[in-house]
Amino acid sequence: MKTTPLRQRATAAGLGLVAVFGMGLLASCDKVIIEPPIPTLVPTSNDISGGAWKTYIVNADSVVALMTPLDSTSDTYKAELNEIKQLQSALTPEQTADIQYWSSGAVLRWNEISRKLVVKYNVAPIVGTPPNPKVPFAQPPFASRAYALLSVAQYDALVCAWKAKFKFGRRAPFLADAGIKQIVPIVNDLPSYPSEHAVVARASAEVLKYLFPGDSAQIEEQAGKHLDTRVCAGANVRSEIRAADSLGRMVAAQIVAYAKTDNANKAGGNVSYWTNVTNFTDPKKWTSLELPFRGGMTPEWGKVKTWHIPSVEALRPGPPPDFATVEFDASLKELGNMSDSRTREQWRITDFWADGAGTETPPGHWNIIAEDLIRKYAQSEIRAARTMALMNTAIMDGGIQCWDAKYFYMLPRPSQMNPEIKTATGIPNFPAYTSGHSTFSAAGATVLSYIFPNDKTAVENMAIEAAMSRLYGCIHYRFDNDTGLVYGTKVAEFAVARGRADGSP
Amino acid sequence: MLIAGVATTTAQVAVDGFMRGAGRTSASVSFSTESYDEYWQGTTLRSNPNLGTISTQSVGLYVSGGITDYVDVILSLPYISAQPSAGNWASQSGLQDLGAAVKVRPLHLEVPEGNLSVIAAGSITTPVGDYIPDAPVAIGHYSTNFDSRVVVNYNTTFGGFATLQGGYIHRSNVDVDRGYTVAVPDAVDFIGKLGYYTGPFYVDAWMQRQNAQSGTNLSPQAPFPTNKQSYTKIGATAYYSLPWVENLGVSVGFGTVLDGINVGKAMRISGGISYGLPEWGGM
Repeated sequence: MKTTPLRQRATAAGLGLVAVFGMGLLASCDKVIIEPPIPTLVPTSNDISGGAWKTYIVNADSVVALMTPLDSTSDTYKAELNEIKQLQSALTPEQTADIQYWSSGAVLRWNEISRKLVVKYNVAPIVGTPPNPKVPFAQPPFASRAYALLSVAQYDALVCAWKAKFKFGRRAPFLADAGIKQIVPIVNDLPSYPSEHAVVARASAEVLKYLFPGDSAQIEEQAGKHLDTRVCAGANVRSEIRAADSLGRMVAAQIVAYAKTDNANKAGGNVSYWTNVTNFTDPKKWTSLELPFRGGMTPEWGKVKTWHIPSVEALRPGPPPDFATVEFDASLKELGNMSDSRTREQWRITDFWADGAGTETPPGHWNIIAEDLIRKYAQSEIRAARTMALMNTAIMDGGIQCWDAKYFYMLPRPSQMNPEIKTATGIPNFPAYTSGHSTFSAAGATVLSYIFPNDKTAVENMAIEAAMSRLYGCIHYRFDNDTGLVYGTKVAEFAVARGRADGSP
Repeated sequence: MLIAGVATTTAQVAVDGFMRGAGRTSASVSFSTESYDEYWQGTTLRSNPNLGTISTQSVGLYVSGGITDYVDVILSLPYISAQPSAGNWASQSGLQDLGAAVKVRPLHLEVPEGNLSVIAAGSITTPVGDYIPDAPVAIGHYSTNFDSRVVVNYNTTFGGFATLQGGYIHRSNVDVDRGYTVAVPDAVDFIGKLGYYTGPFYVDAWMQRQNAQSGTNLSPQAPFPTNKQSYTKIGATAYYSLPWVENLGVSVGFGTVLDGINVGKAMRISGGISYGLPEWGGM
């Protein structure tokens, strides 16, 4: 059952670190979590067909039609080349460090930033406090949507950028002028107008500012640094950054407009919802085990707009076993035994996949796994964005499908049925059936198996281990996991079908 | 959510201001119980009804022996069990950290009304079990700790004494189950003690201040080995050497946390039995 992570998880995420990230968005050299430096990502392919790949929301042709690069013989362009030479002649150690930092991948760095924001905001509000839109509770469904919106924005923006790159074929500054150095390895034959780093920076920053308005200033600061590094690195002239900046802004505006109408902002439920759903006195129905009592998390998440699946009703699993059945009894007994005889290795697995409050959540954990694979196969920016977008939209759909089942069936957690069942992880404050971890993980593993067929066994074993971790922790019945794995896979197959037809080789 | 009591989460070998004497060895077994229902999250005192009262029981073995009149060695090993009174979190129990210390007394002066000793002590504690470093009901941090300190003891001819000690505790990084390596904060530690002994009786009262040198605040969810844990504790100890059994003594102790950051507002009582092993003469 034990699987080895592809790389030791070394992102700065984890319980207890809220205070650290409160000080600055990117405490990249904090000494709390020991992180090895990440090398420059030099892609194995430029994916020259990328401009023709199918977008999610944005019409790439209409966006690119608005763009025109500077004339490369103009004085303005020559002045921009000179600006790079001047900057390069006086690089500070901080600038050099920033260049190195961002060269490890634009898509992946902004994905990492989004995970850190989720870590920071994955704190349940104090019971009774009114919702504060500036301080969202970044729980797993919220996080799955954050990662999906970010990845879709990055991907759509990069498809537009690729279309423009190969339409205009502008050579990178260090090729245009021998006096300009490559501070970090830059791919020679990828046209530089518009900057692929800058479209990602701007599209990411705008989506993240929408999701985490309380961190807007820090997000903007990071975006500013990122844009500057590409000029200093000799990768882009200033006008290539500016063009990418407005392209990223245009794309992000459309993604944010989509997000405003996807029903997620209404998924928290309200008093009338709870009065209609249950009076919490029916012992056969789920109730919160928290003190003070807390209404279940995102009860209407099943109504959020999906990316791939036709409807949640079409993918609603059958009911869990009835309480009076031998099957249910056996499932509960299995957890009673686990509670009494949990091994240290089962504890470790429970902890490894717990991804609870104050972490990047299970969808975030799968982003870390995807990042490892993207680095392993050195995917280009646009292919990395495609991987992340397919996976994160599948995971978000999985969450929607799962949450529909949770609140449709309202199955109590094992410890509600038998208080003697002691847990190795926190009991999530929503119904048991089906398992969110299992659904998210099967969705993630299915998409990653499609994209990285050599790693199919490894990622599938991770999904199974993630599901089992909830049984070891005694917060899910075995049938919650089994059904979650099946339906997570089913949901993700819709995403895979899209991937097969999106025009990418 | 909670933290295990400060007295147990950060393993530390107790070092006093007296040398055992060449060839003299004593072994003691102590039992203690500690509990708290309030804790400081940062500097804010709060409680968690989902855990109720966290209580910790420990059984500790402590052996100290004089190699010469100037060098002592100490070994310690506690077994700890911790559980919450409410909610559904599982309890934890197991062997915690093995500790070994060396005490050296380079200076011993006759001064008016008594004598003055200056002692240097170094100790290491390291986990021997495989307990969980970041469980909500934890029995330790799992770090290996290097403690170096200076102890000054003024011992009067009429039985009263005063001890001051100050030290620095370096704590190693820890690998947690979720796959990270995290830094456990170092700390500075000060202890002051006043006591009196006569015949078979011994009593002392002490105050300890430990200041973490870095670290994070406890998150609302759970403790973490990176948490900055600082505290002021006071306590007292009494010992009585039983007149009817040779070499056997009993002790009782009390300690309480007055103020802290990211620690439980814990109270601890303990009892122990000490036995003086046959003298071997030393080196």
